[in-house]
Amino acid sequence: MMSSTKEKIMTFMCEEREPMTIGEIGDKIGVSWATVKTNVLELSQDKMLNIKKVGKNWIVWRDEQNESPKGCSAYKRSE
Amino acid sequence: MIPKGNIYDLEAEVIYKDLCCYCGACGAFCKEYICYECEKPTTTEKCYELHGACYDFCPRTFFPILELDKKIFGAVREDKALGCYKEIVTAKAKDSEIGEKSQDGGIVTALLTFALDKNVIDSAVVSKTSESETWTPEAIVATSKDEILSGAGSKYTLSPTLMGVREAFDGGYKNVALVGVPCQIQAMTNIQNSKNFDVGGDRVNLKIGLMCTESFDREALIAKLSENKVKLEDVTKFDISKGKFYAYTKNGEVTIPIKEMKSCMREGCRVCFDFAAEFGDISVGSIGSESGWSTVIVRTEAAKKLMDDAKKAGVIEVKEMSDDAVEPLRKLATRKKTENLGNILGKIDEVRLLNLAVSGEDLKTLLI
Repeated sequence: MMSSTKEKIMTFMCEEREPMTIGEIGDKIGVSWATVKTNVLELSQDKMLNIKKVGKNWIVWRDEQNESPKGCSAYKRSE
Repeated sequence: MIPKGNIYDLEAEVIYKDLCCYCGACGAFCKEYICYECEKPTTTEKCYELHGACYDFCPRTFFPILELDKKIFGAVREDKALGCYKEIVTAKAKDSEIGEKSQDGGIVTALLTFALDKNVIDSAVVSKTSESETWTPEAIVATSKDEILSGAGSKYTLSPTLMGVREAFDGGYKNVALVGVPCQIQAMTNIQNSKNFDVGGDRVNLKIGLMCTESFDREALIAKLSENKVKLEDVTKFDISKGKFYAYTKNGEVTIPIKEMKSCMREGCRVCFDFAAEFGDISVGSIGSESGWSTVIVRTEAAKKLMDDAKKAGVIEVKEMSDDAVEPLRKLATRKKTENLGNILGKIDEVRLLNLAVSGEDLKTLLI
């Protein structure tokens, strides 16, 4: 099952819809840089996120085509 | 806390562990990503949902049995073997056509046709034998007596029946009956009570559960019949009665002790805790009734009304069942629970009970 940290990262990236650094993600969701890095790497292996080192920073982004246009999302109850 | 997961969690926790009961709940509301091959769900393309309905609806990821007792029946079961109910009776259809084509008393077919006739339902999801593959059940949305009759009779192999519910919803039906074995009824109950997804499951207003000890793997069943010199395509009817499995052909019947049939059992059935379709409005079987009659467990107010109305209309004949007659039913349900609870405990990882950390097997030693 997806850990709560991975879920937090994915939810955050879905909401933001723009590339972020690991540091920015960590600050926003209240998790350490190292924890974000570990989880993002695992998510990138599952092709749910992309990660690339640009200069001194690791940039994380989510492909727009990763959106589930159909599937079960239409049935989700509002929170 | 309700666990959340997606299709990959479902694969890891249920499908690859051979716990899948092939009910169709995961694919019913996700035709885009899930299809069925070799009696198992499979993904057609990558799904990016973090929390999917497939995981939420599956009766093998999470089924809060006692919480659902309280929610649906207003109290936790007093009868641990059979679940909550109002009464247990023995009944049969009065219509001779239904009696001839159906299993036992034909009560499922009689109730469905009566409910359709009285506009209690506008369609019924039933399983009929596939025209392309002998004795392979497939879900259909029946809207006439003939279509309901085409689904009569026990099959003993499974189909993703919940896909039929989706089909009924897509067809615009608003009062749908579902006929299914306990795992399929559990799946529908999960769908109706999901806190995270709303597919309009309340449109299923009548759940008729079929009592079930186990279902068979189709290939294993073909092999077992072959051992007994019977071809599947020659079989006209299957039945289980008094510890024996019967395959009727034009040339006579073949009897196989039910113990020998255990080798054909679907792996997913070995962890099923439900014999009596405990979350149906009505559960129907044969144990405890005379030949040609069905044992009927009436669980909800709506089911009681339907039974009473059908009796008053002369559609069915109903007799009370004595405690002695119910006892074999209770015994069989208890045996399934005991055997399969052992299998469940054998599959779980370490459990923490406050300060006690024990493996599933040790828990069995401690509690049973």
